[in-house]
Amino acid sequence: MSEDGPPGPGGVPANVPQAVVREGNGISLVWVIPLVAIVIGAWIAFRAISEQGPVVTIEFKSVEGIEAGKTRVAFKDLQVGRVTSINLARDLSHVVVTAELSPDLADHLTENTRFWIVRPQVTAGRITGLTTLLSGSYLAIDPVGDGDARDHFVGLDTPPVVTTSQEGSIFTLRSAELGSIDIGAPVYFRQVQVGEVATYEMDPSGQFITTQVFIRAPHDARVRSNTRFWNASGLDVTIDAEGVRVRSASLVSMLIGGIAFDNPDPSEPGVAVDESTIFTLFASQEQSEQPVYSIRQRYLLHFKTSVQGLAPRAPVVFRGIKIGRVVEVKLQLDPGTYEVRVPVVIEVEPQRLEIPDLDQQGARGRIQRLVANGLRAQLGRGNLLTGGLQVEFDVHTDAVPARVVLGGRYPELPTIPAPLEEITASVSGVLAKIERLPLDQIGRDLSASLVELRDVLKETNQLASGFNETLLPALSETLDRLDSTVGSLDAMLAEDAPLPLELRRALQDVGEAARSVRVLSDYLEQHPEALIRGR
Amino acid sequence: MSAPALTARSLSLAGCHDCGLLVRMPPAHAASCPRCRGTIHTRKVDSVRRCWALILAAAVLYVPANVFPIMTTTSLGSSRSDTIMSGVLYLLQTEWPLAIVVFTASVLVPLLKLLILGYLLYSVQTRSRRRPVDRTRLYRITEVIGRWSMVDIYVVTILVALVRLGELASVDAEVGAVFFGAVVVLTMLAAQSFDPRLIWDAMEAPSQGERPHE
Repeated sequence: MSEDGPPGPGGVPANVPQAVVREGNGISLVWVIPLVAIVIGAWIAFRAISEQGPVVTIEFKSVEGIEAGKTRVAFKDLQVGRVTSINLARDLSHVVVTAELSPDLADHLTENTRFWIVRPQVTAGRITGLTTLLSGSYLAIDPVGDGDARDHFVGLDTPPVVTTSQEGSIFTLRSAELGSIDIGAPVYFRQVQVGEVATYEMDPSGQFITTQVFIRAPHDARVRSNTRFWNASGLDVTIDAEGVRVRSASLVSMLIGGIAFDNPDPSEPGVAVDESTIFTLFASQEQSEQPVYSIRQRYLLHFKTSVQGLAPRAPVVFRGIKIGRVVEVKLQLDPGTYEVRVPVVIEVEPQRLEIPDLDQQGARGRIQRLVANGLRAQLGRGNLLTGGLQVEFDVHTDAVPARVVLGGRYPELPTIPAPLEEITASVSGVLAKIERLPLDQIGRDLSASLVELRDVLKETNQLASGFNETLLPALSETLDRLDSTVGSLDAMLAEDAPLPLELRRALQDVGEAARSVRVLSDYLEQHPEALIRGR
Repeated sequence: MSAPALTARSLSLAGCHDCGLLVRMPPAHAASCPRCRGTIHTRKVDSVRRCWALILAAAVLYVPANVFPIMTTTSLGSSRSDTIMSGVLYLLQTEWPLAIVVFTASVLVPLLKLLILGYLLYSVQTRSRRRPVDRTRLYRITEVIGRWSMVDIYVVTILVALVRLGELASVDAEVGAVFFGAVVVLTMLAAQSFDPRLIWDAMEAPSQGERPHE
């Protein structure tokens, strides 16, 4: 344990030197270490407590892809919290997710704040959340500062189309039917997508559909008081008295529907509107382009002829300009007289006549005056291709005087036969004239001419037989002589005849001559000097 | 050990730590070697105080080391932060032997070191005479085993360096690892600053209580 060197216990060799005495130092610096540790620990604890963000609970129907302790809460792709636990609701109807959020969000947890789960989503319109394929699903938050603060929320089943962090405006559209519009369907301005359909809902009255569209800034400023919205969904094929029309805004809108808007008259910018304005959603661009008239009046027409091709929605025109449409076409039997009539109800927009200061009553009065002046309805061919009919109005000053018949459900306007009927009449007139033609006489004359023709033919025949008898023998004799001539020619040219032999020999001589000329020319080509010097 | 034993100190002798010169110690505690001017102590300087200070610091840091995550594993986007205990609990579900190893090395050993050193210091301060051999053995075990707690830190550093696969997988060290490393280092330093000779000094106290312990 201690020294072995010294000889006895307690005996220390005398030559062991004395150690030098040192001054002891005061307070040990070692206490700095726990002090620093305490300071660090206290600071860490303070930070942990001060950074403790709000804890919220969110109800979800399903929490597919969400894991306690792992799933993050993100806002603008920035992590702002973490899911700490997931529990079933007591009645098992939903799942309650508890999340711890960053303290920055404490002031933005209100009744308008929304939570939803972001998962990869593939729809006809777009693909979203692809990054979650790798990173896993996460909880998204749309923090809203306005409203009553709360810490329990109900999560959305589907991601909202519009979040409050996006700049833009929401406009309300009203339409009779939804068309093929879905949430998230694009909103186009001159075929540029500027927004999406946010929501749609049935009006409590069930009379119309209210659609909310979100239009991104700065395009939301393009929505003015006179802006027209129309349904740009799918393929719009119309076949009516005006022809066949096919329209589509884009392939996407063909698949999932869409809404387009435009300002009909660039020269009239309209006034800026706020989000409370309600617009009408027209069924088609064409409809949206038509002016909207507040006054609509229904009239009854009676036609005595077939109205095949006249269907509801067929146009009612006045000198070619559309002023209304056909509402109803019926067949009616008068039980008293057994007369079958075709009552046609039309809807006219009298404002299209551009009468200033018109009201409902004034319009009726003016129509009566017009009828007195000769305003008559008649059927006309609207579309030659489809055979559709339309109702045409015009002022016929020569028409039989008539009046507006009041008393029925709708005032009845007088009609005159259609131009079609007149055409039929004139065609039958032509037929009658054809009938009056002296066809018998013509036939008789024709047969007489035929007899004469037959005589002429007979004479021609006789001429031909004379020709046969006189000319043919002479011809055959000539041919015989020609034949013998050819025979002697043949003998002259035979193989062993003298003429060909000599000819062949002469040709051989010519060939030899040609060969020697070639030899000479070759030699001369190589030795041109031979011409002067000789060979 | 019943009879008072001879120690260098009881003979007022000490060997220089640097040059090994045997010197006669003055009554004062601190002295220096007349040959090489090196500082000579009969016992480690300030042993008990330093040890207490280091143990206290380690005990303070032991809390954040266990509360904060030491490592974040991100694989295919889903990240998971683990404290030491949550890692042990996670391993317990799959590989319980490994869980026991991790628990022993990372939780139990630092804690036991703190407790053992605390007990040794307390026993020295109260001049306890109970089972000095066992207490000395306890000290030796503590000093030897302490460094193995660093395994955790090594694992984290190696993983952080190796697993760098971007979105697929990555491992990041967290603040807990720093505290844990600090705890391990502090306990090791504390074990080193403890002087086991103090255990035995108490044994000779009745006969040679010439100087108060430090």
